[in-house]
Amino acid sequence: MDAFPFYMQVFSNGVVLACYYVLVALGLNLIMGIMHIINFAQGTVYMLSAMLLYILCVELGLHYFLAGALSIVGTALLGIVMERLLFRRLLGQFLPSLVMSLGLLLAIEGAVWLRFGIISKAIPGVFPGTFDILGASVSYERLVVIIGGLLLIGGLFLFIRHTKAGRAIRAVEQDREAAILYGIEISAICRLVFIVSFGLSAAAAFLVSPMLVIDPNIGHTPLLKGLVIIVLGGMGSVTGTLVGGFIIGFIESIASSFFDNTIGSIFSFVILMGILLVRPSGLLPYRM
Amino acid sequence: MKRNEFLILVVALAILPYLIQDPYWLHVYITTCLNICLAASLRILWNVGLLSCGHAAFMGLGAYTSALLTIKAGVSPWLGMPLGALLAALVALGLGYPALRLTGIYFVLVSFAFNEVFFLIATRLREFAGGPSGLVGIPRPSGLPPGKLAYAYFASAVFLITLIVLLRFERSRVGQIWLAIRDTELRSRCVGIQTTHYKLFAFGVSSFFAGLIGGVYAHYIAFISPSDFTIWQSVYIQLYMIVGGVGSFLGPIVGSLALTVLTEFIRAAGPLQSVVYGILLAAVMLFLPGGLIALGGHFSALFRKRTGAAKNP
Repeated sequence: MDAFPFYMQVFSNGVVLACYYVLVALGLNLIMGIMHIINFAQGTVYMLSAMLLYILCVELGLHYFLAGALSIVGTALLGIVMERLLFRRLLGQFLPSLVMSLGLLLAIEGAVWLRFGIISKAIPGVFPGTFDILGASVSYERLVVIIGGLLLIGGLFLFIRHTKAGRAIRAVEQDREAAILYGIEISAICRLVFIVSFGLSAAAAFLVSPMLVIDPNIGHTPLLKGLVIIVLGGMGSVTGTLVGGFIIGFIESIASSFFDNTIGSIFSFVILMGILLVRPSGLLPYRM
Repeated sequence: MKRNEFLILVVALAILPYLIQDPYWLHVYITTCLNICLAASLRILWNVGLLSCGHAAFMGLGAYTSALLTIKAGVSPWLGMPLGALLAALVALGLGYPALRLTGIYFVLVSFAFNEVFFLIATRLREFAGGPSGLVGIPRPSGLPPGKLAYAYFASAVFLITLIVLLRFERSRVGQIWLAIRDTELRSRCVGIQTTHYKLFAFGVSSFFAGLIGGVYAHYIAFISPSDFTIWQSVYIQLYMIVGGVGSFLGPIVGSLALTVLTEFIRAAGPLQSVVYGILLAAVMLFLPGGLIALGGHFSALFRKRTGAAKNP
């Protein structure tokens, strides 16, 4: 029974990481599924909204929830602007849009670095304290991330499955031309996808920022994990992203408890290559 | 390349380092030569319709292999550099086999992840490869006189050989097949081209030269660390290629030349450089997809229009 608290710790760590990665990966995957582009700036969006949260919360002294709401709305607006001004011009051009998103990544991270410096910042925790589950102590922060993350993921599921807009998104994903014939406006769907995807990244930043540091480079980890998760789970598949995210989250949590973070990353890369060899369409490919 | 142009290039490469003399600008010259080779070798992949986000990792593979062979095993750098290149090509083949059977999107992801993993492994191998602080005291190739001038000539030679080989590849039958695969992959497959094999071959060639340049770089700079071969380095190589223009063989050459010299002038380290580069990258994609090379075309078209109008009023 001695080992139990330790495993509980590993487990809760894994779920927290999984929620964090899945939120960013879902955003990546939505954009990838609808617009057939890899938005390398997705991690940067996460970083930007964490920075925005820091400015609102610490520098301006707003309440954490108000700051969070504002940063999510602000990031979603940024999504609209980016889609309209940048990504729409390169719609359907895979490599140019990818290269442009890399350029955005470089430019935004450099700009944030110039403005805020490289020194990491922290947002003070809002839910201090821990509670015990069967002898293992879990902090309230983690519980909030887990519950918030699962609620958001569930909400996205319902949105994609059961609303009219969600059906339209799936329709465009399955067959673009047929969707146009049925009167679905592609540009509206693209805008919607950008709003949802940027909003999810901002929500991830809102949930995990009190637990992690904030600096201009924090976007790289969720981006990289998100890309691995997408290959693992299957492109365009929401369920696959969820499953892939939990696999990667647990691998990382286990590896960092027994070895260190590097081993976890290397191991997830090995899994990625294995999946490509054996099952290139991912674990749960999108079915029409 | 016609014989005259070739001769002019050789003469220029022979005279230029001698004219420069100043050690600082010789350093810029060597860096430019190596950057051009990297960008030109990356373009081989672009010709098959692929974009690698891991070019710096293959450069790093070559650099580390050659450096470790010379330091730990006492192998001559003249042997170490080609061996490093060979290893980079072999790793590329191993990596490409699963990744290249799929669409280009997977290749981008895998190369991106590979670069990160290379960085992590190089950082982790503390005893063997120096870990985060890297390898120091990498010997110069024996027989090369000391000083930057001699190395500038060596870099020129590598530059010339790389470009000639890459150009020969591009003009060859294989090069034509690469272009065919880029333009119409399905049709190429229908006429019996083993597209995966040709893509693998292109990846191997491209990585071979990345590894070679890595070795040349390592023995020049005498100090390498994992932070020299990050994903951002790969993105910079893409930048050289794309800003110059991917449509022609000259593009990456112009791009690397312009950007390396520009970097020296703005002297912007870290964040400002990445802001400038990032905006440049996005702007070229949005407004000038043909790159700087196409700019020349626009100007000459404008000029011709003007003169044409003058002839027939």
